Amino acid sequence: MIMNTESQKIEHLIEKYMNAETSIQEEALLKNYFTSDKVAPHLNQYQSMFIYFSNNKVEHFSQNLRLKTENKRRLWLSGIAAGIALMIGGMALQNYYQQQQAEKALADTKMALELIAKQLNKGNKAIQELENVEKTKNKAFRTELSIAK
Amino acid sequence: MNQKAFLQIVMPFRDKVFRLAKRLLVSQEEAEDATQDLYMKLWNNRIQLETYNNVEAYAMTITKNYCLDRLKSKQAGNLSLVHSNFSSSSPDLQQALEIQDSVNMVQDLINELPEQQKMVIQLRDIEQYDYDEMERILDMSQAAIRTNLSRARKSIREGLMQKHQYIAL
Repeated sequence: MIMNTESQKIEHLIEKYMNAETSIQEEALLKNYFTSDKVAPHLNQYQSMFIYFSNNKVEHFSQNLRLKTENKRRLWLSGIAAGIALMIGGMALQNYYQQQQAEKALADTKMALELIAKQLNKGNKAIQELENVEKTKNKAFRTELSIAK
Repeated sequence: MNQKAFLQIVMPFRDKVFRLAKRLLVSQEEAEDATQDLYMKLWNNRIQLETYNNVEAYAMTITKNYCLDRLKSKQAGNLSLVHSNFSSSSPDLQQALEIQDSVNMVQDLINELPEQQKMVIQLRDIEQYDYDEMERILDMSQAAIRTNLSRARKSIREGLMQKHQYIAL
């Protein structure tokens, strides 16, 4: 019975491979064989392994790199918090104004306007303070970098 | 070091880093976080990077350590198994489906391996690092690497053979 010398060679390599004795070139040879259409039937069981390995090398990282520090993220969140506070403040003021509208006059309008100005200053001050902390604390400069794949 | 020089050094291995993270953490999202975290560290450390002669090995080591720490922490409970589908090259549909099935099973079998075996499979069979590089990244002796590799490959083969026997019944 004539044995196929190629499959003999492959069998020998598989033996070495299972003992982690193959070189990178030998492993490449195995991979080429098992991802081809001409796998000997008795060696079928190894095919899925090598297909899996070669498929996995194709998987890539597709996000944009974000080279920013923790501080920037916190500042952003604090900015949102200040913004939300402003919104809530503004909504509360609006309710108050509508309630008083029928009964009171110019004095109430004036008071409402003063309250808004105060909220704005508070928000601005908070953001300003955070920015100052950011500047003095942060030694590495923040960089936001977008890289398309 | 400016951004361009930095990127020239670090971009070439971003996929390998990501794939190692995904091998260990399984979840796509977790792996992406790990990769972002690594690059942030590399960027913050960019001045020292110029003095290293193998930034890639350094990056892979950091990633490995980060992932193993993540696995130890409580968040490990949130990491979930993800199945991926791979296409086979066989023209015969029936055979193609069987191979597809087995290929999917390889993923599950590797997931069940202990961490060290997972890592050696990833670095050798998928990323094709040589043993010297693997020694550096994993901080393991070549003997230990080969032992783990041998065990891992045999486990996968064993698992696939069991599956085929089951189907034969």
